[in-house]
Amino acid sequence: MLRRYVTFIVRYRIVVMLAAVAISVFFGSKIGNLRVVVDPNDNLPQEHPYVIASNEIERVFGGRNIVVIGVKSTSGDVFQPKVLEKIQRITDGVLDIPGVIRSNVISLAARKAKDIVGTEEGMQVRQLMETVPQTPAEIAKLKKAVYANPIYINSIVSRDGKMATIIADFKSGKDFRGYTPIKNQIDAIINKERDDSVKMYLGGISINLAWLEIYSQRMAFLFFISLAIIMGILYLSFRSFQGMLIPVITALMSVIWGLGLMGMLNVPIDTFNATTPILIMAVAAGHSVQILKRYYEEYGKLHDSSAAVIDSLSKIGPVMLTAGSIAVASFLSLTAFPTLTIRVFGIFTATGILSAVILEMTFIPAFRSFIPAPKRYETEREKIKDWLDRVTNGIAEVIVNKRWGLLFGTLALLIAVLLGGIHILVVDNSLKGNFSEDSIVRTDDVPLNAGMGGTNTLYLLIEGPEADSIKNPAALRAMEAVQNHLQEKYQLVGKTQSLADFMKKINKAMHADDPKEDRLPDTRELNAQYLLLYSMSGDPGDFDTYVDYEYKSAVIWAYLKTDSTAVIEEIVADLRPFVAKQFPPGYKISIGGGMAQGAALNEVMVQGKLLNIGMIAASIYIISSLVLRSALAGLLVLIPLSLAVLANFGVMGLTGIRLDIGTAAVSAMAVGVGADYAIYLIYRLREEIQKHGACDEALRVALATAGKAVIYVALAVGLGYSILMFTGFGMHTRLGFLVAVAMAVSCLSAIALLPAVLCIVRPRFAFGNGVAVTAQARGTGLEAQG
Amino acid sequence: MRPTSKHIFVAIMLIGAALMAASSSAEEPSARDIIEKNFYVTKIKHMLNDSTMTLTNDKGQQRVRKTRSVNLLQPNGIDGKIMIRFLQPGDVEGTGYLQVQHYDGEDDMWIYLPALKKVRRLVANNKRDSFVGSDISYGDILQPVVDTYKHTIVKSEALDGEDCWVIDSVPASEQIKKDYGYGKKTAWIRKSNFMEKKVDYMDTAGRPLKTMVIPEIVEVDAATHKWWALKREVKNHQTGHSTLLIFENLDTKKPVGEDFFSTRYLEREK
Repeated sequence: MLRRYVTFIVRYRIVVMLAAVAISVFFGSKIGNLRVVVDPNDNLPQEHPYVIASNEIERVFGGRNIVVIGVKSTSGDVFQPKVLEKIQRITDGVLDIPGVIRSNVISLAARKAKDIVGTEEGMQVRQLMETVPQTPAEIAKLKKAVYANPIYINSIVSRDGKMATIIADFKSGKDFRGYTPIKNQIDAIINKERDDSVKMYLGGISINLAWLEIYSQRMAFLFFISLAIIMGILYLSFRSFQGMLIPVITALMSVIWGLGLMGMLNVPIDTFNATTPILIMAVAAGHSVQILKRYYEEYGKLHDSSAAVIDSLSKIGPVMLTAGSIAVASFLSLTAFPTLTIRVFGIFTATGILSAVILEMTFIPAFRSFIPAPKRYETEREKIKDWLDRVTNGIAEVIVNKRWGLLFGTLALLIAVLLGGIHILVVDNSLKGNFSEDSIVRTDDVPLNAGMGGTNTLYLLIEGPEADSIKNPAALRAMEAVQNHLQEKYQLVGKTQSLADFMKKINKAMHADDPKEDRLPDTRELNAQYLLLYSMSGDPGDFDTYVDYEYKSAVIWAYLKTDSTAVIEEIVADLRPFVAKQFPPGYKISIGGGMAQGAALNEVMVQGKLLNIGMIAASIYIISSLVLRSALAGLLVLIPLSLAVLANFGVMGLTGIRLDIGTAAVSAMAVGVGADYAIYLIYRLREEIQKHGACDEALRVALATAGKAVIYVALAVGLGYSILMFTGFGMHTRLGFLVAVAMAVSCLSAIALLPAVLCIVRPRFAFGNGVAVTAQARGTGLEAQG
Repeated sequence: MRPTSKHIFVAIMLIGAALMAASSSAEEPSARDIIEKNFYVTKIKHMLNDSTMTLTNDKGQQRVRKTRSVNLLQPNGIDGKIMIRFLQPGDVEGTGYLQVQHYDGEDDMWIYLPALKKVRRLVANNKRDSFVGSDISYGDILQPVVDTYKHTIVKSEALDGEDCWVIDSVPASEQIKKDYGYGKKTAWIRKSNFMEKKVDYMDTAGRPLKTMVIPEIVEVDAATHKWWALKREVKNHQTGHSTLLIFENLDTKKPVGEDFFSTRYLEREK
């Protein structure tokens, strides 16, 4: 069946090649539609309570896409005309950026920054700095006004007065085009203001995400370096240009198909999907190498290119289909993840691998039979024994001589060390932790965090039972208590803000700034009347970020000096019972904000990861058991994968790499790729056992052929991926390192442990009872797909 | 000096121009005249009314306030005294607001908060500041005197079936522009009674700021041709916020004494 199919492909090779090229051109033309965008929402589990609260807060109060611009005076404080003028020009400039939420822009120069002051006769509400003060007297007056309004200390001016900030917020609606345009426009504004008198810093979630986009875009460049590394390894493996080019052609075309589909479906590339092309390329090249290796083997016997193409593909085609199906199924299992970006990653990797399998079954055999046959010396050179043969021989001898002590002793030791690593594995997401310490993201964040309250936000959403609930004095008092608790108990909380701060300030002003009256009003009526009074003096939007229009819900904003989700989880766990005690019945308190969303992500990631690995293992087990018609075979395939997963988590624990959204995807990726090794090896072993009858000789041949190809593939994938270690972007660095580790472990366990177990257990599916393997393979049904 | 043909030509041109000016003023008032008439058409001697102000934010959430007010025009025919008593929502009931306008200076304002049992003076606001959280500014409540802006007639056109002059008004000085916060106003003024039908406001940077529509008006005093807007709708294009102001129970007959406009009266809570 398969042989007839391949013969057909070889006969109509021109048509097949033209069709494949036409499809590639079509998908290639769609790549132009690709966009690199980081939507933080894509990464978040939408049904998690933190995320629901954050979405609600952002819908009503804003505060999602914050940019913090820090202006630090190099001599003295910021209260000098030159620096204040800069702050005013930057504020004006930011207000003109398309997509900015004008009413959420705050700085010393913002209209929203009001001085609430008591007089003998009443209350006065004035913009803090309508025009930049010039005389020492005017400057002193402004300074006095700023420090008389504690809500602004450590939020728009540092306590020591050396730093001021401009905080802006941007819409993320349908016109949103990523964070890089926002950062570019802000850079254009602040670069005009840079000189010796000030130092400027950029922070906030929008800036961090803009950097994430910038690093993601570097993947295009890395892709070609990775390609070069894979080509180099292939040349070393086959010692021929043909052997170097064919896998790369498969790889490139698979990537084009996968990317084209992404462009066609208008799915933007984000941090995770930016690494997808490299993964697809690595897997595609892996399959291609296995077939190519077999082709050279068959060509060495048959000396006819077309016959060798037909022979090699008929023999190895079912194996590739099996391995391919398993990888595709594993990546598709990522669609069960609650986070969109991982789902997209799963679908597109699956598409890419499927493309590779299709190409290896169509275009590549047609192309190989079309191009000239390998020259004699190429075939000869391929047969020369090299250091890899010494490695595979060594392994074969260990197994043949039954040196189980050495093999299993090493294994037991390794497992013990890895389990120790897993024991100390930390689950923690930190967006900034993805950037290296000398990156601008981190170097700008340090002074911003030191000078101000903190660049990371945690919000408490208070939802009352009905409209005007927030005017209830008990509710405002509870808010005040929570703020005090946060600020007194946690050093990392640098600032909190809420409507309660304003109510206290108004009460004080209405009592001629009597310090004793710096307290919350006692009745709901007084709260309501103060708010009405304020509306006669302030602007309608002044409290929009603190209380909703119907006074039904309010927010407490807390600014933190860390974005570690582990820290936030501690705070939240402690805060919950405290908060629950403060509010009257009927009030619902939820926690949100950038920090809490990170915590949500963290929480889901642990469950999601276990689920994910379980699913991959299950799909691999089911498919390989079906294909090999043995429940035991499925378990054997799982050996290298279990070790790869164990190694991943163990090495992460040992090297202090935290389990976060980026590293979580690695194990799924690693097992998906690693499954190929086990399958190729089991098939070859079975084939050779059927031929030789004995374990020893079969082992030597299988390791010298499929085993060697497994090493080629692992080297190509591992080294191809390892270039990610040089991106300077933590998330990619760790990805590169962990994939390399996973490749090494799954390769070694597939070529050493798997054959050892097979030879000890001597299962019937491999050793048979007289039924020829080819006959068995023919019955799998997979063949019929060809 | 002998009259030359040149002199005669100039004389004829001057006479012609004068005639044209005279004839056009007979048919068409100048922009300044129109605005002046518009300025005085709402200067009602005294009036009591109830009003409902509905504020709607960009998310569709609303705040509704019901008030009762007393107005008295000052002898100068420009400034007014206004006393507003809040009726609803319940938690602000009894809150009183007193404003004594001074077109050539800062207004005097007091507020009485029943929960505090105290009258407090409000320090004068900028003209461009919002009045009780609405889209109407303090500068809109007491319309500035005619020459605060320079007016030009853009065209005449019918708006919803009513003949209107379309008049552009630009601030007479940079200071006025800054104080009121408008770069330009374009008003559609009803030819039949000089009441505005619609006003477009531009901010100081020339961006569309807000639009006020006055769909319903009533002649409260036929003898002196005084009119009042029963309904005003103002929409801020930059914030998405809008204000609907509806007046009811207008009474221009009942005499209004000076005693309404004292801080002592404010404290009476009614």
